[in-house]
Amino acid sequence: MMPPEAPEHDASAVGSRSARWGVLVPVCVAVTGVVVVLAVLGGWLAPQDPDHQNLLSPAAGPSSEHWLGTDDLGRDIFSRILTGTRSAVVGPIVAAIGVTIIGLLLGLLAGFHGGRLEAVIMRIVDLVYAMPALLVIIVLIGLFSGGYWAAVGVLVLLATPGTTRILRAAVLAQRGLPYVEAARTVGVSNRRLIFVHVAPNVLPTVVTSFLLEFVGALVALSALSFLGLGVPPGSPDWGRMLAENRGLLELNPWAVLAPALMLMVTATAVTVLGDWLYERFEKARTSND
Amino acid sequence: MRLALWLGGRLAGIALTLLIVSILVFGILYVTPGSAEQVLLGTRPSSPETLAAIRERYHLDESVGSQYVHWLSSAVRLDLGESVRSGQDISTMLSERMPVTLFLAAYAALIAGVVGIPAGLVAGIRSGTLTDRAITVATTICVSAPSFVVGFLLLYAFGVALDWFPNYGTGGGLVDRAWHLTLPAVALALAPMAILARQTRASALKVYHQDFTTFARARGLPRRVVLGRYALRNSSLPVVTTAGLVVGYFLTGTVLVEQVFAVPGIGTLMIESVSTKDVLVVQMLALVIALFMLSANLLADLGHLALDPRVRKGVLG
Amino acid sequence: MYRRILMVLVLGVGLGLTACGSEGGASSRDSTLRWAISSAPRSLDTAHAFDGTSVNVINELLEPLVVVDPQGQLEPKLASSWRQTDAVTYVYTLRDDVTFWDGSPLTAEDVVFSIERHRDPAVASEYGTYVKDIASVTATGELEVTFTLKTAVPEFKYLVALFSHTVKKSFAEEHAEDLGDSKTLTMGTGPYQATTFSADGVEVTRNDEYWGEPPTWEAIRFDVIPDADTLHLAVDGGEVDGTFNVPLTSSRNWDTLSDTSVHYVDAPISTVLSMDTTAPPWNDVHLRRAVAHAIDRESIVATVFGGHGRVSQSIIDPSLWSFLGPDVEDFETTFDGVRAYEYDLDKARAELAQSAHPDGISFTVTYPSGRASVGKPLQVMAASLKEVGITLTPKEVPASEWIGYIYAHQDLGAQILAVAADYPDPGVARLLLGKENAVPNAFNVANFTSPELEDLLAQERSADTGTRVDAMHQIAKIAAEEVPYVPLFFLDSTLALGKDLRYAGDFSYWTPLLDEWANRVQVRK
Repeated sequence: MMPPEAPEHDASAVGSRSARWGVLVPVCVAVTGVVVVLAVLGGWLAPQDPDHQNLLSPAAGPSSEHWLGTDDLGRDIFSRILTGTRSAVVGPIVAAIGVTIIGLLLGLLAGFHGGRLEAVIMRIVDLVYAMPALLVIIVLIGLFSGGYWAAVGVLVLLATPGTTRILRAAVLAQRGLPYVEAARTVGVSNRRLIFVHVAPNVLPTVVTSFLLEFVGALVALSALSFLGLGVPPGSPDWGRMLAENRGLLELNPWAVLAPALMLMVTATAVTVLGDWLYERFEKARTSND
Repeated sequence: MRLALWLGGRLAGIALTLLIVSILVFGILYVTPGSAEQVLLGTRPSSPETLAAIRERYHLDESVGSQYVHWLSSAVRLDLGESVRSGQDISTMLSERMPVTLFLAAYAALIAGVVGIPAGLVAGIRSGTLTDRAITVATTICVSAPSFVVGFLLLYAFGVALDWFPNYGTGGGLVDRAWHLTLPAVALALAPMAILARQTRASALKVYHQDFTTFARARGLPRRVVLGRYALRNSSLPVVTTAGLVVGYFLTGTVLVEQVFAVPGIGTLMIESVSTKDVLVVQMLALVIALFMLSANLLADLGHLALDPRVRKGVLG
Repeated sequence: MYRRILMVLVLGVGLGLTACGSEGGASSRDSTLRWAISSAPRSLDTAHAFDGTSVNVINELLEPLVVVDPQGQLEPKLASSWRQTDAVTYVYTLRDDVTFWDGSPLTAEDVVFSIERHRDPAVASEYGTYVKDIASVTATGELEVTFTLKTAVPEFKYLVALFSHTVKKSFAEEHAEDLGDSKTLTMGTGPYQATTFSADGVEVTRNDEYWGEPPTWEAIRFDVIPDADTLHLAVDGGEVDGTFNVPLTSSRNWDTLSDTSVHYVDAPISTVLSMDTTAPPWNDVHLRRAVAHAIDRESIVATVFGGHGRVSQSIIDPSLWSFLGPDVEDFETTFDGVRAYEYDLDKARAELAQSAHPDGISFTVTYPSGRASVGKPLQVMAASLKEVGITLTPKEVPASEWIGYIYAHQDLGAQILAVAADYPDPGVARLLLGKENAVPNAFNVANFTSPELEDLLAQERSADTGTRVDAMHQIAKIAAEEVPYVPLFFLDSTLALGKDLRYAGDFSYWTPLLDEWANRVQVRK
């Protein structure tokens, strides 16, 4: 997993954002929407029970009955892809929410309070930030045979520092602005200042880092299940399916290609959205100044 | 003198971090389920005498603390011990596996640099054009696509279906090895390549519109020279500073990519050792990886120091 | 008692999808055989390498007194002849023309030394339990070795083929600490001599002075390829010439290979589901029977393994009966009256209704991660058990952790394990039975015992074949009645060979395990 980095877009220099992104944004919005709908409704939309084994037609190619064919136990790939959306997406969403909330709180605390507290928080953050997250998760989950949610937990722990750094930087940028000084002089309490004034102004950064965290977690968790960690064997999980169906490539390539493409498309669509939103926010902010 | 002090401090910090990492890893491995002697015993039922002999040979009867001290005192004498799983010398295992991984990482870094930097420069200079947009879309896909998925698709497209590249083995000799490792290196290179391209684009954009570049262009210097001498050099700073993170990425990335392509490097060794609870090997790998990351950060800081006079002033006074 | 189970499950298990570094892709077809193995030998010293893969490699280097041929019959190797003089005495006469790789002649001293090593607790040999009924092994002549046993051991003649691999005494004494490791290697009499050995594989070269038929190959390179998909790629790309490790779960995929032929033969590798008969919920025979009726073994063998296996009805492998001697009746007659559990969900529901858990139960079965040959069957079993209200959750754990559970012998619950016979005798099934094996580090993971069963297990040790067969018949009956283990299937042995190669003679489960085999792999003319 790549450490989340703040997108380096330079709103000022880009002539027109619509020209830069073109049709990509609507496409990615559509893809993300579909993925979200599938995550909520996938189980109901699936034409067949994703776990139903048809032992008489294993590893069959696409047909009118099985649009993407079957796996080696005769399970319907299409239904498994739809159902698998939830496990592919829910963990990363939870991880991204956790990381963003904790990161925001720590970032606000560190960025706003300064002093000792900031030093302690940033020290710890730097320490954890330097660890190769996915490696640590592989070792921990592998050795302790932890499950999916344990993996999500460890992921939150290891990904928070990156977000904390980004959000602290955003808070620091706000702290120096005149309106904060002004609010201070009229006696607005620190808490109120943080939550009512500063927090909304770092929202763009929060939203972007949430989306980037989501992609990071999606990739990390599917990598784990690709390695056989996290989700139990035989679950309709994209990473698992990719690993377990490798041997079927010549018999029913869709058993492997479908989960691979779903992972690629989802990760790319959300990343594009994150980048695009960031640019929009930046543009709005710079034009406000 | 100040530089020596600064460097000494950094090196001491690295040593301390390694010590802490080794204690942490030792502790974690100690409390994980599954016992090392079962691996040693193999798959046959065993007598209590056999068990006792093995426990004694590998110091398994002693306390965690004394096991750790045992390990540490051998390790500082560069005796890394034996793998519980294979009975092989750990230093031999590392020296067998490391070159492949280093080759793969260097190859990937080369690809990332050779493709990413020019692409970023071009995108930056032609910002807003179709080329820029194409490069932006490409980098977005590259940065978000999971390396193991890309690797998998590359393997089956170019290795199996088209049969352009070998799909197994690491080859002997430089050219043969490069040929064998091209697909894994590309899979590994995609994300850092995209990030390099983005950063180069952003820096180039800034630099290209600054006075000295405009001046250089006004002097009639060819575009190539302006690009190479001014824009590239001045956009190299942020690129250098992310070196530490990039090394971290490569170390993580190789685990997955090596798995997909079955490359016998330290990534696969890591997975094998974790799954067999080969304590000493996992520990040594954790230390080697930590050492790599810390050194990369140090080198990045040194590079920063060399390139940016302001930083130099800050550190050396 | 002899413990002679080879736990196929745990051998070379790993998440790893790694492969070995092959030196140079160019093939030197005529002289070097490139063979894929699933894991590196753990050692070249037999005492510390008693597992399928290590034994396959060591069989090319070190030689035992006798070997087992493809039909399961004993053949001479280092011993030119042998005889059993009474129930507990065996005398082996050595050939006089055998030399070690360094040219020195083989003596009875070397043979005795090699066997004594397994008996020495300080060596901690993995063959320890195979040699513990030996009272003494002595050189009774320049070229004669005599075993005296503490008690009659019906299968002893076969055990000799397992543990008598001979290493040169002076060499082993000189390298007492590091015999068989990557630096020291070993010193044997075999047709091939070890040259390099690492975690990535082993290379051996022809022993030009070999006493027997000249070796087929100039050299053999064993490449470690643990992952099944990687192995498929390597074989497909012609990077290796052959392997014994074709995964039956993807046999359909292997059958599509154009330049490779895959051979499947019956093998006594038995997979069973065990249930701890001493602890709830499995101490309820009706629950165990319900499970037995709710497993569709026919479909598992047909679908998961592409038909390359046998459905099993008993923990005793019928194919092993014939090795007891020509006078033993056919298995069909011998297993008459043994209760069978056909796949029938109604019968399963009926049994469940009679049990203490009429509404079904939930249970978890752990297995070593990456082992599709148990993981896939468990998924099929889970689906049919669900129909009767029993929830089975398969759970992957690291291989070492799984072995740890089995050996710790606590909170056993239900387990799945594959056990393979080490030598041709149906008595191997006793390992899963009796109080002697219902302890840590042994395999009666169902904790199944009764006074009657203990009597029968004692009778099974008889020197008289008739008594043994009767006892085993009774044991099979009891085991079927009480179902401490649901016998699932016997998996085939496999051999994949490039189309330009052939295997001389019959390929058999026994050959790579109990005899030199690489010389049988030959270039097709």
